[in-house]
Amino acid sequence: MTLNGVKSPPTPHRITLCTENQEDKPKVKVEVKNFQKPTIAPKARRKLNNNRLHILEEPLAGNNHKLTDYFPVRRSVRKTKTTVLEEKQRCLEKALRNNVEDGLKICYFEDKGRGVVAEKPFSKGEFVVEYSGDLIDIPEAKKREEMYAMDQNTGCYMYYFKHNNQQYCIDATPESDRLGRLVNHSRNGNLQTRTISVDGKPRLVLIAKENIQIGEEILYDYGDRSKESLKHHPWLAN
Amino acid sequence: MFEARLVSCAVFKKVLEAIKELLNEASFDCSESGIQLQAMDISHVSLVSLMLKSNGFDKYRCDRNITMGMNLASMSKIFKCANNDDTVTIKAQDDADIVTFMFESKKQEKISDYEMKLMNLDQEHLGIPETDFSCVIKMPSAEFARICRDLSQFGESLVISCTKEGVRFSTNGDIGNANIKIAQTSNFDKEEESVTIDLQEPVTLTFACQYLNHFTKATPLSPQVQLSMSDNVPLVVEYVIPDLGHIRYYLAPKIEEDEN
Repeated sequence: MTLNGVKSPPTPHRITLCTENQEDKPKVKVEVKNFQKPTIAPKARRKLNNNRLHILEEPLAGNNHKLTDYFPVRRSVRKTKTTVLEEKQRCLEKALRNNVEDGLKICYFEDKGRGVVAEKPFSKGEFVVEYSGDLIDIPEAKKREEMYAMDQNTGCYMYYFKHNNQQYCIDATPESDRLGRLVNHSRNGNLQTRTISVDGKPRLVLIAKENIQIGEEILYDYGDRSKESLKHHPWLAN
Repeated sequence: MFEARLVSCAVFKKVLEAIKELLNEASFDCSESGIQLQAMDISHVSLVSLMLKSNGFDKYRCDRNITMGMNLASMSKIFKCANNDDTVTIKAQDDADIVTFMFESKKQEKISDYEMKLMNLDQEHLGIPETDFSCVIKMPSAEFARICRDLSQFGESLVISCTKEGVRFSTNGDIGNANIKIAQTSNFDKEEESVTIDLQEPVTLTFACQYLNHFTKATPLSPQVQLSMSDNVPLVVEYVIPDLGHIRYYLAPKIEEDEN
């Protein structure tokens, strides 16, 4: 067959080659057709291996609506709102499990003692620090509070909160290397508290309420407005 | 680095069986949340959406989101080499052009590795809006598979009409017509055998049988199937993969004769 392309006068011998070639022609044609439409070529080849796919392509004839008539084609790989939220949640859980407290430092203030200052900017909604301590129930909290009340020097580190309709308390009274317990109070602070379940246990996190700049002290509202507390801690009114 | 491990390879085999007739190749999108796949068949009439959640795997690690384009016929060849009770581990490096499937036999005496070349697939992703469906039917998956198989002998299209009395599947062709009616039944002992219909308003839609028959290849994955329908939107056929995720098929309705 390769001889066929050679330009030389036809001989009887060549003629036989030619007829052979003619027999082959339909086969060659199919191949050519495939090459003309490179996009279908791999499918067409697969069709030979797999009859079922062959059936699939036939009634394309257009008596069926297409899914693209109903659903928009997404050009970019944008994530849906739920996946974004899920990812955020997972990120937060990971930070909590690893006790992440990045971008913060302890500062000493003349008037109120220790406080925590941002060393990197935090954007609104970002996790800043966990209020970590012992997670205890209310009766236990009452017991501990009575104990702490005996010593005038202990500060107030008991955080009461509700999670899934149940009251809890985080007691961060004992000195630790965690920063959450050192964040000071302000009625209009730049953080807000949120509870979140990690591995079945409620955790208390402080989230940026607004964009926080480097060097800004981080503050949140302790939420205690009771007369008794105000009498002992007048700064709660600030 | 991506690594996912399943103690039982059987479920992965079933997943492959459930998609390989509709799709020649597909992109597996791996992220921290799990492995996702969304792809339309060649004709763009149906779509497969698969979700295997990361917490359903026995081990799962995905440092960076990766998309692995795989030829499903090749993948199924590889999985044919594994026994149902083998443990499978799927591994890939970030930016890799190959994926490794490792099968370990139950007694750990045999370990097989298969490396497969990945493909660069330029696939269109569809944004699927959340829809409140007019009716949601839950029924035994084997029953649904049987209905589709039986009725597809008579005609090319299957009419599904759902009213508060029940669901009617019907078809007609050259030899005549066929009807199957399913009523709601509650079976508290065996929940997977009950038929429930959650109906806001009656719906009647027509679909091509052959696609439904492809969907029912997912039957071994789940004892129940859920069909969600509304006027003028694609049918959703969902199989829940216990503890692992789900596979959803979307099917555009047939064009009614009076539409032309």
